[in-house]
Amino acid sequence: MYYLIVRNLGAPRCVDHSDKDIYEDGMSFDCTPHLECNPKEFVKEVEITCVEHPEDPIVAMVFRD
Amino acid sequence: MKKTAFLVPGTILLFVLSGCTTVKRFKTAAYKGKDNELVEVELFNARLSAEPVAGGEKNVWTLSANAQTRLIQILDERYPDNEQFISALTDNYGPEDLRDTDYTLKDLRMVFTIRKSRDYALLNKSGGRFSPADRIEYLELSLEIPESSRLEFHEWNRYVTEYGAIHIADVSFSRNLDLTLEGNMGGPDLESGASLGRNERQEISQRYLKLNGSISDRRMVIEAEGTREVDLTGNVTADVSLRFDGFPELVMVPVFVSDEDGQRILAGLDFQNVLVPAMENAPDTIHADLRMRYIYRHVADGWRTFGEWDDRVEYYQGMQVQKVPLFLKKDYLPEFYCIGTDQTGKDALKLHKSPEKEYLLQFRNYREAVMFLEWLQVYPDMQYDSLLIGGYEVLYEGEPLTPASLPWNSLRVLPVF
Repeated sequence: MYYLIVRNLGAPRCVDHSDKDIYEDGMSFDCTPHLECNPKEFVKEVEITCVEHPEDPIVAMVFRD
Repeated sequence: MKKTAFLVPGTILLFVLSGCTTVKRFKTAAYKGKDNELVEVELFNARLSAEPVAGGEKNVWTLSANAQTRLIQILDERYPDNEQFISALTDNYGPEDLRDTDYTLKDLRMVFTIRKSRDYALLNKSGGRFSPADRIEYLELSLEIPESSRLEFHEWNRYVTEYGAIHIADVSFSRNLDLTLEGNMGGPDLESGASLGRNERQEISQRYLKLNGSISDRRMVIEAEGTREVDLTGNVTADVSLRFDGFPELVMVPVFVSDEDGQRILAGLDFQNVLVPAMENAPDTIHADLRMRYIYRHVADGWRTFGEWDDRVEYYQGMQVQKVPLFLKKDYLPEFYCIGTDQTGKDALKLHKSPEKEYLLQFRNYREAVMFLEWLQVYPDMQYDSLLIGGYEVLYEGEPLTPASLPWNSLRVLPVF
């Protein structure tokens, strides 16, 4: 399982997960959830936007279990 | 012959008299070079606050006259409890304040202190660069925010010096102002020396100051020039609006009603989308680069008189660069609260609808979080298998919250950030 984790104001949160590594630069996600996830291995960084506020892109991290 | 005899001395006298007029800026002036030790600048106060929003408060006192009359008729047989009656009158019935939804806009007031080096030990010394008549003639302050802070200047509200103030209300606005200000440099009148039998009276009743300001995303620049006898030593206050990059958050607003017994019942949770500052980490202090350039007017001779016309002026220019603390973490972090235990990290309550819809149960202020926790602890129906609010299941440590699993004694209100 792959997890998309964003970190804001020092607090990380898991906002999405997927069986495959679907995460790429420029994608949009709902950034408000706090999903349960089990991140163990860092995969990569991607620049995404939040659908609620697409004006300011953010850097998110992809992990896998 | 007679004409020539009068013409030559008369012309000389005219030149002498016009040469001694006290409306001159100086007697002589020369540029002497750079000296970065003559003036100091300090940002001694920077205060950040939520940007004020035009008040939308509506209560009974803001009703129209007709509505007030109608209300009085309705309340003719009013509720007997005075306390509740007065409480109802002072309730706010207006829309939610916009400040509650956007935490990225902040007002910052900065007070810069400009001071001269007053080295009285060098008075009357030929190499000295201080006299009581010295003044800072020109000042440029610039403040630059590093890009890493994801913060930018949004709007410039006000700029105040010891002598005047200008209001600038546009992002890229820049203009020069000549401010005419009442003032007086030690008496309304000055009399010049009367060595040639000429008595000139000059009223010093006005001071002149030029102010100039510009602002861009990362940089603000303020300039001041004292064009006549104005020393720019003192405080400069700049009010600016700042905007952080935004990051979305979802906060829950509990809505309570009272039952017939006066017991507070949770009617539901309103989900509210808000924007908070977007910063990966929350640094304890956000710094900015402060740069000051100045022109220092040193009076090498002629400083015994208040007037500047007899001054032998030496100009120095200087610059200072320093990193200044702009504001602290507590100033920009939103004060959201959640409910959980702090024994094993932050195990906070969550709301769960589906694997993709799971949210932290967070409140926009301490009061609402406390009210929810109090309601949770006296929740009347303790026989539930899981607690549902508006179709969302309440989770604790990833499991549905039940009376058995609820850690009654250790649940508390915790700050989210």
